Amino acid sequence: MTVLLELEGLQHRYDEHAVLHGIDLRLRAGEFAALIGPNGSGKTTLLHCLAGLQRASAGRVLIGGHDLAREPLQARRLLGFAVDPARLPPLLTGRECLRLFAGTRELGEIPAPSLALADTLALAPMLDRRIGQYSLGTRQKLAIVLGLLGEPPLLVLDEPLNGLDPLSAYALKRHLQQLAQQRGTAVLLATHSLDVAERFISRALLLMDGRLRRDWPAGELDAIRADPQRSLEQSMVEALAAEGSAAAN
Amino acid sequence: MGRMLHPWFAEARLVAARGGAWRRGRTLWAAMAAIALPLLLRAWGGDGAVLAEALPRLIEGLPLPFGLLAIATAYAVARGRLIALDDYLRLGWWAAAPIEPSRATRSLILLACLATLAAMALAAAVLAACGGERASLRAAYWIVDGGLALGAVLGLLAALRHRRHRAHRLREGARLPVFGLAWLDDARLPHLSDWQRREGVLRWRRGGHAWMIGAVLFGLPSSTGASSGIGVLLIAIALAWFSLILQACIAATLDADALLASTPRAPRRLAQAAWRYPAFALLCALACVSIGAALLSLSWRAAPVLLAIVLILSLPALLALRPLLHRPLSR
Repeated sequence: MTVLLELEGLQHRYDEHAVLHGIDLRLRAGEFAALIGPNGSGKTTLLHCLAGLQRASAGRVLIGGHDLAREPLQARRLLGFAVDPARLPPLLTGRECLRLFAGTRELGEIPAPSLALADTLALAPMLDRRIGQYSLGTRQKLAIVLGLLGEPPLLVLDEPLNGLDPLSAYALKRHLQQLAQQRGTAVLLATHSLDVAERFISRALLLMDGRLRRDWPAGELDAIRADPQRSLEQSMVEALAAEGSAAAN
Repeated sequence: MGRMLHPWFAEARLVAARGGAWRRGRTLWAAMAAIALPLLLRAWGGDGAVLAEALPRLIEGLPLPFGLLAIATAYAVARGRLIALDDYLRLGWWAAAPIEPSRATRSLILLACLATLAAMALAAAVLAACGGERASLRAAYWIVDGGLALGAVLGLLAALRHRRHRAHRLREGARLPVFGLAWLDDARLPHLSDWQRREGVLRWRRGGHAWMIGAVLFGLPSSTGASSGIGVLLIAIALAWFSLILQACIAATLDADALLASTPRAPRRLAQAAWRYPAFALLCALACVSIGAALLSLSWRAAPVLLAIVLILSLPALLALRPLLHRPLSR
């Protein structure tokens, strides 16, 4: 399988405060990976670094083989990133935002799959209203549709289920799963919803104190799903406890 | 323009066509007022016309301070606005769009050029409206517009440098006071005075109200003696500092009020806890003003004037308190 995302020794620091300590990661086409971890573990910083919003202090980000620092345009053409909904322009309508974004992906009009996804997420009736009138959940939906516009082969989403109603959240999870399984899209999703992670994903990654501490591959996740006595939540708590005691020793 | 520039221009056009145009409209009104004022003074005749015509002569007579003022203003505005726009393009909703970085760079350069040309045209129009001798006008035009152009170029270079060498700073140190004032804290609402103080320290260290001190220093005649100069400087610093601290205190108090809105606290307690740090700051400012007044050998008769200045400078901050005053105290 093609490697779509490759992180090599990724480090990031704010002043003297190191947030990421040499992350190595490979994500292949068709993988639906959940990035889990406690608050402040560095999930958002990691996603911002690999989306190019923040420049890594050291290390490399390769998207589809293109170095994000050296070939940002080629790398970003392969990347879909859902921006922070609070940053969407309040005076524009959702449709205008989608049209502008379609232009940056060299698409003449808003692609039909994006409009279909907007319809699935019950966003379509709101598309001609100004974003300033949207609720938090509606903004979140627009940010997701913007991120998925043009169906790029790599999707990076930071807590996309925040603020979504249960129907829309389920529809989004199913949509991402289908993209991964049918179109070979690689999805990296930072989330605290372990039940979501457990049911839909093919890989789970535990980030703690800026380090990738645990990687549950598809086989191990299948074993967890097959055993009613086990859950990803329990495995994560065990992993955190093991790390905590290792740190104490 | 399509592939050369950032598609932000399309967004800006849409925003300007909607509510965003009011800001542009406000700038336009301010520019028209700046041109209309000297024209009105000249039409009024007498001392008014002399005052308007004096400006180009003053600029011609003091080329260095006016040139430096134009450079500093253009530099600060260009750098600040361009960095803010660059941050918006880099971190805002355009963040992950596949857009060539050079398109953003070209857009910043184009915007800087257009804004500088507009500012130069406005300065020329204001000077022309002031009237006076042709030679003075020409000299003043070169001094101001030359300064604006140079300042804008330096601001653009600084913004582009910032774009290349971005630093991720927490800037936590910027809001930490040098020493603690734990005794100012009110036990009924602990940390409110500390919150007010940190907000004030942050605003002060970001250069807030420095223009007031700059304006006073700029207006000082070169023949001013050392003790008088220090006296004026002390008074200017104290007044600028206090007006900024008061604004910061009121902003922090309103934030605290919003934060605690759903808690069962009496608003009187908020008021009782909120006055302590501003009162302490007023005492410090008055002490500083007194030393300045002593150095200037001012009599006690100057005290009401100084207090009136303090009150006028405090008005914008006090007006911000209106939302709190319109609330019932018995809640």
